[in-house]
Amino acid sequence: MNIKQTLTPFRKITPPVRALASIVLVALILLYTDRQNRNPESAERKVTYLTENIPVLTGGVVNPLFKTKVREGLKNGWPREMMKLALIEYSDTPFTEYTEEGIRNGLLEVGLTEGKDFILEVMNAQGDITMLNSIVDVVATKPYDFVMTISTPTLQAACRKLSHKTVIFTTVADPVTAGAGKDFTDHLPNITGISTLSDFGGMMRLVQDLIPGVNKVGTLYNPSEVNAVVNKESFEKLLAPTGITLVAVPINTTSEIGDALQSLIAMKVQADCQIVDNTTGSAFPQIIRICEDHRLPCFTFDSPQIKNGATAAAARDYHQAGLEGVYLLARVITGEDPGRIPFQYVSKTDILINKKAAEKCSITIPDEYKGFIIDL
Amino acid sequence: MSLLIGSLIIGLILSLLAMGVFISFRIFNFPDITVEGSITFGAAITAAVIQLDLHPLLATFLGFTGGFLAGMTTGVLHAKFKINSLLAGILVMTALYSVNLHVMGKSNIPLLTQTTLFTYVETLTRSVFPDSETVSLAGWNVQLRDLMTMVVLLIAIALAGSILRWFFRSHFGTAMRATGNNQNMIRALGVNTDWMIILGLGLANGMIGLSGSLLAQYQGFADAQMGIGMLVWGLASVIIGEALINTRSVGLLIAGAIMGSVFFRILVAIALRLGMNPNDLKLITALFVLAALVLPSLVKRFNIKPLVNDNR
Repeated sequence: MNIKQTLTPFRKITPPVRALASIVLVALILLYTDRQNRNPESAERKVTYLTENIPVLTGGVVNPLFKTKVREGLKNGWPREMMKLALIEYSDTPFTEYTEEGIRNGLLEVGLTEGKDFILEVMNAQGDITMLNSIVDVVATKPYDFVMTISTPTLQAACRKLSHKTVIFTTVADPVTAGAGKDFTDHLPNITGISTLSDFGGMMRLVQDLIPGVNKVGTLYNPSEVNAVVNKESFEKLLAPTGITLVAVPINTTSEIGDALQSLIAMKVQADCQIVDNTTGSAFPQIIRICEDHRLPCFTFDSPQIKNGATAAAARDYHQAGLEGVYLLARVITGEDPGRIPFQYVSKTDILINKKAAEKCSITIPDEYKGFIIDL
Repeated sequence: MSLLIGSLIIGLILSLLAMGVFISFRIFNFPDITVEGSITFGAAITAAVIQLDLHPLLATFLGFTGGFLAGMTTGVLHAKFKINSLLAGILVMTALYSVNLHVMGKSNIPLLTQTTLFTYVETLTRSVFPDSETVSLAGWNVQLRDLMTMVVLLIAIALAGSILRWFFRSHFGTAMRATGNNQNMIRALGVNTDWMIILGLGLANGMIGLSGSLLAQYQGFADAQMGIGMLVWGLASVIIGEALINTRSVGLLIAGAIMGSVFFRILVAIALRLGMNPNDLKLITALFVLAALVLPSLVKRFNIKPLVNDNR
């Protein structure tokens, strides 16, 4: 048979019609894959929300009573063989990986086994916002019982499109600014989760312990970044009652870092407690180098900077953020109303001290910090 | 069904991006990398303006204007300062990253509670169908809001495509197309090719900025990093559209870019719905675009003549 003859009837079709026909064809295929959602029996799930709270942790480990409650909740509220869990990630970053690891460990800790009690499907948009939208669309149509999200854009996409599912977010710096609620208690009814805003209190204690009698610390910040201003003001407010002054020098581009740091040093600050913003974040090694040259201790809220030579870090623990996200999820499984669970800050902060850098700045590390020393 | 409508909406919004990429890559033969900056620029301006409680229509228009200016900058760098086309695009794209951060004031602006163009679509839906929120389409429950969004977008995109078609068939547009084809010839006819390139890239990036503006309003936030990977999506849409349409008429090629974008989104949705790991999707995308590039020449090898005559 000649392929030319076979195709003859198709040659009469004009291109736009053919193109439209192909689109209709793929649309029909998509509808076919989505056929389970057709004629849904109105399965109004009756969830009776509990009012009593069982503490999740007792003495650092998950309360056995809580574990049994989770199991009961799984049996009663969600009567299917296995709980289906979707985890949406935005990009492949170390933070994401730590958080995912935390989530997997957390699920084990609350007594759930993968493959037996739940299926976890991880979807990573690889930093592509259109892919994120498609993923959220798909998650909305698949029968997931719960959705967990990592990072701010995923939370925002979920706010918009997943109003019919329970969403637990983790590793979001500020869920309120992201738009998930008016404040930590008054938020969207189907969403709760863990915030990983910088731990200013932890940083304050670290500075006080490492530099006894400290009364003046400095930071650079970019006044055009709202998050930088918020960070600066929160830190300032916290430090004020302790008698420590925060000298904040504004910069607009990374090229101003050198001069700005020199002026900080000229003002005789005892340490650079660098707050988090995009401008300084992208040039952190430069900050560290200049601090090193002037033997000025450099404190950071971002643990990877320790490897670059920062003196000490008080950073949010992203593994813990994943873990605590799962605790919230487990509380929802036991029957709590996600709308009434306030957003929470992750409870643990990672303290890291770079031995070499500390020695260079002639800091004597107190005994109670010996466990946090990293020798590079 | 809501999955299909969701993909159609995203496909239609990104078809503006595809049309922009079509203008720079196909009409001007200009590998324009500004795309990844200008789409975010459009989104950033729109989000910032909406946050000031100004009208979303104005915000959308300013998003278009922002993209237009960004494209013109690339055009000026290339045409007036003779900077290599790739480098000019890279320069503007890089600069836009900082500009975007300044425009937004932070890396991410949520628009979940603000009034956007899509809020108006919702209001429209409620006034047309005051009684119900969902409708049953062949057994699938569909949100009327989404359906209406799709219809409105379809009309808007068809309109934009028609205007573009009209433009490129006008005298001015024809001169523009000729600039991409044979600069020496059109310069001999007295056309200033530098300005053609500058305005053409402006138009292309204006469309891209508009796409970013609509995307931000639809998804409910603008993010400093939302431009990543957009160039590939746009290019893939254009190439798939060409494979679908297989003609050289400019009007049909514009329609092809729109259809390619929609077709592509639906394919992505199918892949995701079937449970494919999103980590593999970029590989699949590359293979798919490769297929779209290779298949037409394979078809030619079987000695199948063009399906219709060119009607330029």
